[in-house]
Amino acid sequence: MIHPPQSGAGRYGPGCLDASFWNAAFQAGALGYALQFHDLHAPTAVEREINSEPPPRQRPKAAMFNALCATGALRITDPAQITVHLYGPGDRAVLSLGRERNWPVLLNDARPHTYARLQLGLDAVSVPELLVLAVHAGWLPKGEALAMLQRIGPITGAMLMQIATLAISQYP
Amino acid sequence: MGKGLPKTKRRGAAARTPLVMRTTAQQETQLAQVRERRELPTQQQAASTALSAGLRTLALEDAVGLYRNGRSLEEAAREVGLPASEVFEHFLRERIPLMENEDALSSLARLARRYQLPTLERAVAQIQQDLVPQPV
Repeated sequence: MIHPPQSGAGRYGPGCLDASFWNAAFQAGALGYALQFHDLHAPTAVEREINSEPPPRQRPKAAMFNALCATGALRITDPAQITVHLYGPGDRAVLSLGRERNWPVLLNDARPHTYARLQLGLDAVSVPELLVLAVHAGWLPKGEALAMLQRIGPITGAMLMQIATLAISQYP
Repeated sequence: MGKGLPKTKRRGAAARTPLVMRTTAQQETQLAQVRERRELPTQQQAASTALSAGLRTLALEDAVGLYRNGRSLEEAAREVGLPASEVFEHFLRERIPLMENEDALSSLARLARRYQLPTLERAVAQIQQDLVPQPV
């Protein structure tokens, strides 16, 4: 029997999704874990950014995004007001939505990620951090998490890479 | 009236290149002209593709420069007029770090509490302890 997808499947409530996170999580093969942690909400600006190829072209990650939106597993939610005026339109919308609703922000770009943590006081999750969380939630085997981390190794800084590797390896 | 062409004309025609050979030569010339006409747009197309690829490469390099000067990936991509996903893939190919967190340990400690993951809290404490320089 095929069960219809249910919205609200994220165990830790809603989270704001940025395109930088979507790209990197797709590259790592970790999107399923993001969906298990959170009901993902992406602002329209992020949707536009993910679908920025001229139609009818769709990169695989855009096709996945659109398919999940169509099933309701991923929702388009805009902030009532843009209150952050830094970076690109997608970054601004995600940071404003996170601030407005006090939702965690899923970002994989160092500057908006740092801004979210240090200036807005939000919980910010990057893809290496998501992999650590998924291992310690007991969902993702250590070996697979390390292999996924390697896939995004080229775009991950040395410090984060080392700490994420240690944190994954420490899981009993 | 005699049948067929006058003798003189018939003789004159016979003196020139035979019809079949002349036709083949004409066809070859025409073919060469067609080839030339075909090749010209192909060459123009190749030049245009090369130019477009060159401009794309320059735009990607500009995006890297903008990112290194403080823009987010999205901002950098918009400024050079390329899709962010294409710039992301360039960063991946060129091994340009996009995500770093100098406070990775304190971030993970905070996330461990937020997501109520006691094994992660212990792991972070252990790593902190291991990373503290030991007195000699």
